[in-house]
Amino acid sequence: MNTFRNLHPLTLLCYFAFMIVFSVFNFNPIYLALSLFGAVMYAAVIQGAGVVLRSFVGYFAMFLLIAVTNPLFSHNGATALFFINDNRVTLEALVYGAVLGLAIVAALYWFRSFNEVFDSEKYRFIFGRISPGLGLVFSMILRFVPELVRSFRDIKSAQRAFGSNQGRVKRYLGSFSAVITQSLENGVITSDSMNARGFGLKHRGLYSRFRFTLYDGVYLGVAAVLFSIACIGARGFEYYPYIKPMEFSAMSILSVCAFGALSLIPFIFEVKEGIKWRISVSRI
Amino acid sequence: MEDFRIENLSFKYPKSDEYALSDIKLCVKSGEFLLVIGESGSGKTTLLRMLKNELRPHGEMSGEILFRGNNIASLDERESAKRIGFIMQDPDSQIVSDRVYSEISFGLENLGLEKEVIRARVAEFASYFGLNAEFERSTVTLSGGQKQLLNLASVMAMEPDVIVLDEPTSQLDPIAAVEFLDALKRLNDDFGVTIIIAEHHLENIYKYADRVLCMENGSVRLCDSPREVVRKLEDCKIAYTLPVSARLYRELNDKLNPPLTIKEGRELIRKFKNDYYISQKELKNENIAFSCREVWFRYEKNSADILKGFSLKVYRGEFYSVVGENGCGKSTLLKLLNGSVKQYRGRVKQESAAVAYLPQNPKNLFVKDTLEDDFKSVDNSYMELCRRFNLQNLLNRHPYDLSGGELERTALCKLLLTKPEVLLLDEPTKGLDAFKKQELGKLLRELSGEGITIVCVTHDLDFAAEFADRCGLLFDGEITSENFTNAFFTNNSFYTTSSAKLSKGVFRNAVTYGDLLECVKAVDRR
Amino acid sequence: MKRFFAALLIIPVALFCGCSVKSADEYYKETEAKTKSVVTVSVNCEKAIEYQHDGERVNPDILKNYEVSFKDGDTVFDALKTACKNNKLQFEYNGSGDAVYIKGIDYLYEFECGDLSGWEFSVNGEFPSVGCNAVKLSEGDEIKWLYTCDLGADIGNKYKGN
Repeated sequence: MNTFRNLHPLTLLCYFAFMIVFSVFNFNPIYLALSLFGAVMYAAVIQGAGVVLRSFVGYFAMFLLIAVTNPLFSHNGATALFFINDNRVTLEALVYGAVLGLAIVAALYWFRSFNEVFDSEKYRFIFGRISPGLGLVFSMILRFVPELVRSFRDIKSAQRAFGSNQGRVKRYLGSFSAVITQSLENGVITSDSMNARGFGLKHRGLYSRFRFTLYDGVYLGVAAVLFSIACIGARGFEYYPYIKPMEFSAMSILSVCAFGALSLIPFIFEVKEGIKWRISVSRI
Repeated sequence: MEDFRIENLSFKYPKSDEYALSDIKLCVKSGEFLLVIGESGSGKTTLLRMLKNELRPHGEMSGEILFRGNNIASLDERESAKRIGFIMQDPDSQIVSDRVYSEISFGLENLGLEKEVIRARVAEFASYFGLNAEFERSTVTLSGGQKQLLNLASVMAMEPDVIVLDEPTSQLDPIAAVEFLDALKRLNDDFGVTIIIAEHHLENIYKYADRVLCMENGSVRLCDSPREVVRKLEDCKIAYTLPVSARLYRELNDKLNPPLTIKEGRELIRKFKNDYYISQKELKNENIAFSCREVWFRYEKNSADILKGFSLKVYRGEFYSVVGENGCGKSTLLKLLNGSVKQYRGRVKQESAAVAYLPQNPKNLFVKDTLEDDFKSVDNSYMELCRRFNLQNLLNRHPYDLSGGELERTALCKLLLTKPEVLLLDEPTKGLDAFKKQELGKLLRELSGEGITIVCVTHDLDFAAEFADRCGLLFDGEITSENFTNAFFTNNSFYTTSSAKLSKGVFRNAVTYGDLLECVKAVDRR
Repeated sequence: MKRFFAALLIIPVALFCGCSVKSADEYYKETEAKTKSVVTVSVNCEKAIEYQHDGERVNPDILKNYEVSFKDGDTVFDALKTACKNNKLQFEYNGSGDAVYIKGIDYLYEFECGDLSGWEFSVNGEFPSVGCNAVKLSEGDEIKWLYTCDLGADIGNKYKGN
């Protein structure tokens, strides 16, 4: 039922790029809170609320660490809380650290969902769009690495019988060089098999199971409009020497609303599809 | 129409004095199923590779190969890739990409087809080969049989006129091999694809062939229909690889039509309504080499049990074969006996610590650049064993350059240098032809005669029937039946050798071709 | 992994032990003992105002000829510290020992007016080529902290600006 992830890889890539870039470069706690909220809600839908709740501890620790560390290194700001060696530790720096922490945590939550949603097939597709050869190389590496690991394990276990009169390091090195030789040998077969199937012919095509549908177009269009509004109307906070919140005007409020909608899109998408599914099942 | 016409083809590898192929004349009709047989090194692979521009070996070549009337060398690259498919032995290394669907699409992408065309073809061929359920799977996790089917599917997706196959089932277990050959036969029947296939295990494929090409020392010895080959082939090494029914027919000099299948063979044997039987060789031995009692094993805490209350007793100097299908836990069992993994319940009692383990891929035993270095790293007094195994001439070679039979021999030699009392073998006959199997079997018998206990897991039933003292069937994590070899295969109705199937109800305990022959001759003499 | 977290805890604690921590009130209530020897400290950001045109800052003289008394061995850095503390001026520095560097005074930081901007100091019109904590004070010194937008060239530092 994971419908958001079934969107076209380019659509997904654009969306996550929007969100992550905006989260990292905009030091406005209002936007960041919205971004974090959207990311957490979506992660909760695709990974389960329990998993996400458990992840809070780690992320909160990271948030605290960043928030507390910043005032120790930055002494700007008018409100001195205390002094360390004649350098003031200020409220402004603490707040700035907290906002920085918020930004990083929000970006990390988006990355979390991105990882979940963007599987190797989507990577292969994106690389393939850049160049068909690159897509193939990516796919070959994904096959090659597990083969290599397996072969290393097999050789190591086969070498157990002769283990006693060799050092551990030497044995590992021996196994490793054997793995490399074997994979080179097998590489000859692979390259034969590739040549036999016409690898290297001009005009290589690209197969993918993805289709850029109207749905993707609409979705991407809406996201792009919301993103533009959010960007144009965005007003920042000032932190030094005094904290000065953003100005509230019609435009800036619109921008905040647009961004809020943008960050909730994946969550709404999932929930809407879930409800649709239930309704369609109940009709049967 | 002719697909291939080969005129006086001779070929010599660089730096070699002997011709790998000499004066070959052959004509392959469109839609023909041509089976190429011959000992290892008889030039089968060389001949097949000559038929594919991309894979043709370098060397001195004379004569001509015509593909549909034109010289094959003048075939356009795209045409060559598309129209002639090639499948090799090793199921793993032929696979290029990480997912099943992307593997099937690989050739089509190379041909530069439209995305929609590729999409349709991939779907079509995945369905045809029953790979639907595997469609999104990672290729690394497929079984050997599935891998080879995938290779076939990805070649077929390019819609070739001809498929050339070089021992495609030699690395597969018998069930997977039959499945693969059936798929191949179906392709031949359904689409009229020309099939040229080299094989050395003929029991299942022989009946499918339209024609059989027998090769010997790089030349064609005989090329005729399967039945004619049975009739005409003189006694030579190749004749021993024919299906059991055909071999028996040759022995009996019957006037009937030569039989190719067990069904036809039973016609032949039915007239011996006699209760001659092979007496069961029973081994009296009380010294236990090792025993397992109620052993349970799984790889991870939450994974399924591989061994479930497994019990086994093996006596000293015994040759014990564990047979069973893929995934029944055979390899795991060896790892357990080898000490690489540990059971979580039950007891394994080893009387001796000197256990040597021959992995499925014997190359894994070698880590040095020459055999000599490898042997030296184990024990300096290796010359004696080398002489016995007849390896003196190979000492300077790289282990990976050895042929299958040589490799198996050297691997055993290296293991014996550790002076083992128990020898564990994992599929030792994989990829060996019938003669190499015989050699290996005799060698193992010799070793067990010297008091070395041998446990061999295999799905090669003929091998087990011929050389093992006792056999056990491993199924669902335990030994479900166990007996002395002849009784074991006689009692099994399906999971048994071709000879046992053929002689069922006629000669008791005849489970190998040798047994069969003994019975037939004994009856004749009376 | 455990060791890693332990190190993560211990290192900051150890660093804190070498520091003097005071509340803001304590810090500003401290007064230095008056001595006879005095120097004057000026802090001027004229160049920054020129650079920023219509910034909020209008008064170039953050401090003008402010008298600070000092003990033997005190440095230019100590004088600035005292001057800032007495006037409740914000300032931030980096480093320790001879290598103390002033990053910002009164919320005006280096690099705020271009890549070549920052605080420099002169003693009696001369620009020493060492850090401010390496220059000892002597009676009657005139210390000027000047904000430069051009690595010193615009405030008459001949050594650096050319």
